[in-house]
Amino acid sequence: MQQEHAVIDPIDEPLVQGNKTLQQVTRDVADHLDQPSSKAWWVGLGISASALALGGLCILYLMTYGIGTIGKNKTIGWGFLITNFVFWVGIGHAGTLISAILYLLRQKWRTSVNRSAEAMTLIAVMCAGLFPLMHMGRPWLFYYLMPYPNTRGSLWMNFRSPLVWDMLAISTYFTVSAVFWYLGLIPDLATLRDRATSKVKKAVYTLMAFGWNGSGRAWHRYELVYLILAGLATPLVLSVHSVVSFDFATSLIPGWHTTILPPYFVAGAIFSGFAMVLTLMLVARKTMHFEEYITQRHIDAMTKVILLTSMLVGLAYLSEFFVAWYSGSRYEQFHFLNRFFGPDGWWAWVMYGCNMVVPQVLWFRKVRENLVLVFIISLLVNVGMWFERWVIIVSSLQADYLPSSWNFYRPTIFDFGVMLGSFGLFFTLFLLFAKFLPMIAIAEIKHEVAHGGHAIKHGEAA
Amino acid sequence: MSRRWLIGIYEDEAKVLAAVTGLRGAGWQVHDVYSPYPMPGLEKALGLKHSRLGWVAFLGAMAGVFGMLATELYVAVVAWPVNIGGRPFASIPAFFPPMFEAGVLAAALGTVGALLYVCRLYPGQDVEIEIPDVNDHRFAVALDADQAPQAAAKILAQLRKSGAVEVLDKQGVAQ
Repeated sequence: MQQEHAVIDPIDEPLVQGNKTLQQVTRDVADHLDQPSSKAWWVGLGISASALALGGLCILYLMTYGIGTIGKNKTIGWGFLITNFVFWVGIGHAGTLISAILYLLRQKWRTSVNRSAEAMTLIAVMCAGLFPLMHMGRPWLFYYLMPYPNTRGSLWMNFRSPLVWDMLAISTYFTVSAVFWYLGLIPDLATLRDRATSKVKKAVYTLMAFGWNGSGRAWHRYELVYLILAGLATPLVLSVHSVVSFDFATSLIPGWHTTILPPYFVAGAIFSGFAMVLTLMLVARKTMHFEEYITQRHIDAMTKVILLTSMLVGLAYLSEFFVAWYSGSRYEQFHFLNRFFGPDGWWAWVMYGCNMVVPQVLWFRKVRENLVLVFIISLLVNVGMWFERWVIIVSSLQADYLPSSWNFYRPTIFDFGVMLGSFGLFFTLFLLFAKFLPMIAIAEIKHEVAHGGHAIKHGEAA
Repeated sequence: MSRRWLIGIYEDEAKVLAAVTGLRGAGWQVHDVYSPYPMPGLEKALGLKHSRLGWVAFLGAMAGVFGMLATELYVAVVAWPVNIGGRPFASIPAFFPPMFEAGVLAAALGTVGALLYVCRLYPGQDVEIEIPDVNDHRFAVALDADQAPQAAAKILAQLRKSGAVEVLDKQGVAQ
C-alpha cells in the first residue's frame, strides 16, 4: 500500500539559512577579508602575540640554560612538555575528523566548519611539534631523527622505536593535512583573485590560486582526488594518535603498559578536538557574523559528538580500572589508587570530572541551545583533557616500581611560559588565518546552497 | 599561441547542462565548462571518462609501503644491525607503522601532484580563458572557434538560444 507522507525530515533542513544566492555566499565569506580589521581582532592578536613572545623568551632561556630549568627530574623525565605535545596533537584530530571522516560519511553539515577546523589541525600540529623539539634539549640536532645516509657512522635511526614511528606519523599527518587543506582552498583562492581590487592582493592570490578557473574537467578530477585524500586521511588520523599512544603503551610503566591506549587516545583526541572547534567556532560565528552559516544545527551536531566521545573516553577509563583490578598486578592496582587518593589526587578528580561528568549535561536540548553553557563546557573539556595527559604521564612516572626513586613534578615558571607560548602561537596563527583566508569553504557551501534541497535565486544582487 | 574562443555565459546550472548536451548533439566539440562549484551530471554531459588518478594513488601507496620496507630492511639488517637480546634483525611487525605512514604520504603527495600536473595548475599560473564571475556565481561554456571558423556565428546563436545571458567571442591564451 502506498501512502503519501507529509513528514518534514529534520535532516532536510537547509544547511545554510537565509536563502542565499551564490553571490551572497561569496560576499558573506569574503567581504570581511577586504575590510579593515576590527578592534576585537587587534586586541586578540595583541594578546596572543604577546603570549607568543613571552613563550619565545622562555624557550630562549630554556635553550640557553638547559632543560633543568623546567620541573623535570631523575624520576619524571616526561612532564609538562610531553603533556602539551599530546594535548595539541589531540586538538588537531577534530579537524581531520570533520574534513575527512565526516566527508566519507556524507555528513553535509561539516561543510560550514571544515575549513577552519582543518586550519586548526595544522596550527595545532605546529604547536605540538614545538614540544618534542624543546624536550630534546638540543633541538638543533633534530635531523638525527631523519632516515638518510649520513657521516655519523652511518648512524641510522632505530625503526623499531615508537619515538621514530611518532616522528614519522606526525610529520606525515602534518604534510597530508596541509595538502588537503590547500587543495580545498584553491577554488576559493580563485574566487578571491577574481574579486581582488588591490594590485598586491591580486598578485598574491594569483600566485596562490594556481590558475584555477572552475574548469569542469578540472572539477571532475578534483572531486576524485578530494575523495581519495579523505580516504587516506581517515586511517592516517586514526594511526597518529594510536602511534602517540604507543610511546606509552610499549613501555612497562604501570598505567602506561596497557593495550587499550590506542583507541582510548583516539577517542580522547576527537573529544578534545571537537571541544576546541566549538570554542573557536562560537567566538568566530559571533564576531564574524557567520550565524547563518554555522547554525544551531552545527552546534547541536558537534555537542553530540562531544557527548558520544565523552562516553567512549569514560568507557576507556572504566576499562582501565577494571583491568588494573582484574590483572592482579599490585603495581597497576597501586597506581590507580595513587592516581585518585595519592598526594596529587586532585589532578585525577579534575580529569574525570571534566571529561566524564560535565559533558553529560549535553543530553539536554536546553543546554545544547544555550551557547554560553556550551562554550563553558567546551573550555572545561579542554581543561579536563589536558589533565588527562598530565595524569597519564606524570602520575604514572612519579610512583612506579621502586619507592626509593619516587618523586614529584613541580612545574616551574618556564613550564608555564612555554605552554603559554604555544597557546599564543595557536591563537596568533588562527587570527591571521581568519584575517587573510576564507574561513568557510565558499565553493563547497555554494554546492550545498544549489543542491541542498531548497530553491536558489540565481543571478540577482542582494 | 592565441586561440579564439566562443563563450556562452549562463546564470542557471540546469541550462548549462542542457546547452552542453545540445552543442555536442549538434556535432560541436565543447572545450570546457566553467562553474563556481562542481556540477553534478557534468561529466556525463561532457562525455568525460572516469579519471585514472585513483591508480596514481594506488601506485603511490605501494611505492611508499615497499620503499619504506626496503629502507628498513637495509638499515636494520645490512647497514646498522643491532643485536637486542638475540632478536631477529628483520623484525617485520615493528616495521609496519613506518610503512603505513610512508604509504599514505606517497599516495597523497603523488595523487595531488598528478592532479596539479594533468590540470596544469601551478603556482602563479595564468588563467587559461578569463571569463568574468565564473568563480563567483555564473557558469560558462567555451568552444574552440577554430574547429569551424566559418560557423562561429551559428555556434554563438546556439549558445544564445540555449539560455546564455551573454556570449563572448574572444582571443585567449592556449596552453
